[in-house]
Amino acid sequence: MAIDEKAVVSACNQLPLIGNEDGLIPAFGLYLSRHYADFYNLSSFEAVRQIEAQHPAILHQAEQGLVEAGMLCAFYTFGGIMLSQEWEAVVMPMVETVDDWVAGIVAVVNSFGWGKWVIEGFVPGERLEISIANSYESTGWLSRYENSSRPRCYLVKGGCAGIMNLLYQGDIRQRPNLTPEYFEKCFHSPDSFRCEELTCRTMGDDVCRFVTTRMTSAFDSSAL
Amino acid sequence: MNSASQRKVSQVNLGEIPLILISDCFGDHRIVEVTLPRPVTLADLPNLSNVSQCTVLKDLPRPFFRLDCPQRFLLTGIANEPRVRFTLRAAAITQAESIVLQAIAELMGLPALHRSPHLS
Repeated sequence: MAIDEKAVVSACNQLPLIGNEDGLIPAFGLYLSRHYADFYNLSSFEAVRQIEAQHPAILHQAEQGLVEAGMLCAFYTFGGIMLSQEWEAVVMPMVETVDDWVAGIVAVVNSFGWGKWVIEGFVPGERLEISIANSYESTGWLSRYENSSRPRCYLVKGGCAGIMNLLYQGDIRQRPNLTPEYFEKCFHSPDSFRCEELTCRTMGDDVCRFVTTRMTSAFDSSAL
Repeated sequence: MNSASQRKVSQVNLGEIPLILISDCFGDHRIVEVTLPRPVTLADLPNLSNVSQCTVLKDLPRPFFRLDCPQRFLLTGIANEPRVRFTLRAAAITQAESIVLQAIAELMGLPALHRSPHLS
């Protein structure tokens, strides 16, 4: 891939990421919400813990709901970024192939402070493997709770699936309208991509590892 | 961080200047993408009034600019290209088109722009 991640992060860091008088952060051609750094973690983790304690029968649906929220976030945020002028100015001059878009958006993510995303493996149109040594969610979990018996990085799972769905299930390069209908096509088709978290720091692992494949493919974690 | 962006839900022509109104999950058209009559140059940027912060990344292969006008909008674009984007503040949404047209006129050194009467 031709993406110079250091150059992307350096350029993004020169762009003000500050809130305005509306309480929002205008950046990358869209609005980002402004709140305390651990607000999302507290909201999502406490919701899951309350549901687990009071309504365990719907725990799986609740956790899937958080992943779905992550996919929606990826659709609008990553999609919006890839349609922005910041993307055109900073990333597109380095892009040679569609695969470079994956490295480009990971480089942009690494300017956000969500943890250092590393592409460990990539098969165009088939598979994306990401590791994060300091993911936002695992750090939040470990600062507040004991080790977990299962992975907890719901938002990242949605984000990884989002990258692959935007590029290989849909085609963000064609500058589509980011409509609910397009979201359904990208994320809820039989061969859309889904992400699994194989290891998680909340479970005592050193890093969080994610593998994203099509729902129709046979999952194989042996390569990791 | 969560975001809100949904592209191109409607498009109107104001004079010779096409505007794309982009809606978001806040339920408003807060983002307006405009293709100007000519490319914007870095020399045009000082023409815009009431700019509180001007950021220009000149070292990029495609120099990027970002002009912040409090209470009105954030203007972003790439030098020597005609397409720019206005990210409107909440206080400016109800007057979005007139504010955008005024800003375009300032930036381009054009006479005051008005909405075409046949468009409603």
